[in-house]
Amino acid sequence: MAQLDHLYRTALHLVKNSGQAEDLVQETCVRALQSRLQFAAGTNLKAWLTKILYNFFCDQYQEAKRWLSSDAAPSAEGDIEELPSSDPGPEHAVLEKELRAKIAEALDRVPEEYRLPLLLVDMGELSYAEAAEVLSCPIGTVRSRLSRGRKLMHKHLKGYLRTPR
Amino acid sequence: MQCNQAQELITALVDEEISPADRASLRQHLEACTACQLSYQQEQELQRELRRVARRVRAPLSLHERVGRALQPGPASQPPQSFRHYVFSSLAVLFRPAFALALLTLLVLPAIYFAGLTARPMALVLVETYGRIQRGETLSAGPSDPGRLKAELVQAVGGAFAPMGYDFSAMKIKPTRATVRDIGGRKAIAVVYEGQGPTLICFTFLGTEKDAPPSAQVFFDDEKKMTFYSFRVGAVAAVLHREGDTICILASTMPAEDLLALARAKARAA
Repeated sequence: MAQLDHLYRTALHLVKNSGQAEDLVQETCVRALQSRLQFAAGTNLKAWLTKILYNFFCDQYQEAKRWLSSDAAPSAEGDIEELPSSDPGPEHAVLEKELRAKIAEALDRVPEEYRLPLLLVDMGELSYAEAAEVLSCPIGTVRSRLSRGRKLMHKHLKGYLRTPR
Repeated sequence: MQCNQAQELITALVDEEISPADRASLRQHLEACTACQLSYQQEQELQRELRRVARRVRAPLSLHERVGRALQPGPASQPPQSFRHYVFSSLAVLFRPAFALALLTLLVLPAIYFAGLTARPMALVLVETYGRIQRGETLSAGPSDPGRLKAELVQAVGGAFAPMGYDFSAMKIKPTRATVRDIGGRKAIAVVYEGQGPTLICFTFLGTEKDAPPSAQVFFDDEKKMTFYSFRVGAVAAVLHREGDTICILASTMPAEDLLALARAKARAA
């Protein structure tokens, strides 16, 4: 079920609402079954499913996204906070919660073209080639946007990440 | 190499997506440029944190249930129209073994596996999953709020019953994870208690004493007027008892007699 976790994480960051994220993932599974003949043997199932999810998001959620992309957009913080986690102790849990909230907030502040490679490569752990396939863009574009996106994220998360010595 | 040229290569280096030639020239630059060294370390740290945080987000039980229902044809499920069309209209997937294998592994095999085990006593089938649940190989939800977890579990079993909710805090263990298993159409809740003491899993489902293995040792608690069934699955000891129409099984690698004593202490006469 690891793919389901990955799809849900990606969907959650795309739609910023757990209910809609579940809808998106369920529809992705349905579409994957419908499109099974298009799946190339030997390729990455995770990337293929992610592409279906992203395409469906683009098709169906653009209108909603238009309304959600402004300051009125709900932060993913609330959804992520409620998700399962281990129990490493109250103090650590508070810090984790704060970091999760900051990351969600920072991601919201990164323009979409840079945010998507972050979601796919850094959080989704896809390769550049797989991310390029999902986003229908060249590998070089993934790399340059990722580079820029990480710079922005680092700027937004200043003080929350460990400073390298 | 100039610093502005190095930036994208630093990103590629962090992701191990860099050619040997670029890696060599970038390494040379990094040895001489502290600003780019810092940039490299920052990217590494950022990626590490993003991945760590992302990995802790799991699909909720409700989503597993929804997808499971969507992939289960039959009158009990309400799959979307498009999926129903898929299920009944085509067997072409059989001609795409790679896809079929991947999809089976992903979603279908667990259901078939558990369905195939239903001919055996429910208690044995459940306790056999002890290791997998303990290792976290099954889907699970973690209770940041036990009340919320209980509500979610009750919802996942259609409100038919609730987890036992035993308090084992005296043993320095508490509920950390939970999962809902479907064994041949019968749902069972498994709650994992962990901590400084021995790990324990409490299974709950609707049933009768007939769900106990025939080979189980039977103990009657004269004080509580309750019957307990003690049995083992490999290294895992288990004790089953009934509270009303709900069966509870405590399973643990602790000594069987200790587990029996624990079950007798915690059991609530209906």
